Amino acid sequence: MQNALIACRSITYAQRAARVLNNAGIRASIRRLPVDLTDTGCAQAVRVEENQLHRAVTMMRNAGFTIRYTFCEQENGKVTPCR
Amino acid sequence: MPLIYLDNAATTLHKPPEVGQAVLKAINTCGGAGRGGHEAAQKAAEALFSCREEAASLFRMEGPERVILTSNATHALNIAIKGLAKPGKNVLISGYEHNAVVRPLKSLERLMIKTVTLTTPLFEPEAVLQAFGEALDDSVGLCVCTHMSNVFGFVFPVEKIAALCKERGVPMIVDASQAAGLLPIDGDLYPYWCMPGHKSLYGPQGTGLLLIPPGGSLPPFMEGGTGGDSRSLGMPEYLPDRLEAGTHNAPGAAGLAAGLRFVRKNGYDYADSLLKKAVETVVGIRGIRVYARLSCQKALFSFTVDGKDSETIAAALSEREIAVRGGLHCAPLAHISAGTDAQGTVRVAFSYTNRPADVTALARALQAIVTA
Repeated sequence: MQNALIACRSITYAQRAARVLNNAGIRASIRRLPVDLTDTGCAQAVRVEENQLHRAVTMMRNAGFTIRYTFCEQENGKVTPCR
Repeated sequence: MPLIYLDNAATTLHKPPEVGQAVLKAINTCGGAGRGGHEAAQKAAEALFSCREEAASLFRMEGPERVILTSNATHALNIAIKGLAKPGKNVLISGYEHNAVVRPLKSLERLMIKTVTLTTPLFEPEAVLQAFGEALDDSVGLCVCTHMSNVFGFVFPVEKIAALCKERGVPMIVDASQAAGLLPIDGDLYPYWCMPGHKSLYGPQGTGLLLIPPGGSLPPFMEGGTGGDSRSLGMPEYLPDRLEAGTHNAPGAAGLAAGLRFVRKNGYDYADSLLKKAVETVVGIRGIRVYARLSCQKALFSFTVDGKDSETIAAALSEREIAVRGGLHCAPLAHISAGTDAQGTVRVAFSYTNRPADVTALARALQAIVTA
């Protein structure tokens, strides 16, 4: 199962988002994003299974989170923007 | 003889056991929160977030990101006061403020920020409310009020004062140093709330909280690394990072989270019966004047002894293994307002570990001291 990453603006927001998603039954953890993927430097993301990405994004938006970017983890380990 | 500790308004000495356990666990497992993706960094981040969540739950806040972790209440007050006071405008304060409020304000005089102190009688909450109402005019840019006097336990009507401030568009800061853990606090109400972790929230020393109201904003008090947005040379705009530069006290936050959880589960009213018993007992000792009005007082009281300095009485009690605090309690303003500034007072403050037997021992010791 491949995973997706939802960028968050801080570790605290990522933690809060992960709490919201886990409480809703979407397994979520926190990861740091590769530096070259962001325009700001060090950044945090919530990691969910890719088939849960749409639901997770909707749920986070409904909870008031601003989604900056979403990324998908490829089988070769690369992380690329989700299409 | 075991120590009877009644100086809980300074620092609670006896914490719930889970507080120490949490600190120990964190100090052995936590790295730098937000500074890496490894397990130790994640554990530190979890410790901080757990503390914010516990605080948000106890103080009925929607957003844990508006819980700012500080070193103590003084740190929180400095961030809030220096961020909100406006040059050319006055700051209105009660006559019972601690030096943690008065000294930062004194330092702002160079910026043409004048402090106006309201003088009201002790244990007169209606007079306080009226005084704030009358003084809140266009010259005022900020109000600061203690929630509970650290000298007398006098509870201030801060929610009503906050309503006045909101109506007139004046920001308000509440010094909840004594009230946090003893009185309900609504962190989503209008004011900025400042509090230590080490008093009635039962956290370790070196912890504190600043609760930012919804929509509230403060400039950074200091600048530095936050673990995010590293390419930017400016501090982030978002909370809590904007106000939390530098590595956090993760063990402290872990201990404070345990303390907050304890308060949330055990409630606020454990000290009421002890305070009542103590006041009723000590008031009957000849030569002692007790400052009390239980209808607007919580968890602590002060007294004076005819012809004797408060520090002398505190030292005599200490020799009998009873820890209280004499002097001015870093709040000379409160003593001036109450007329006790000449000799100070002896303060007795309870925590959840105190028992009626402690009050009996205090009364017996005081009887012996005043008749010696």
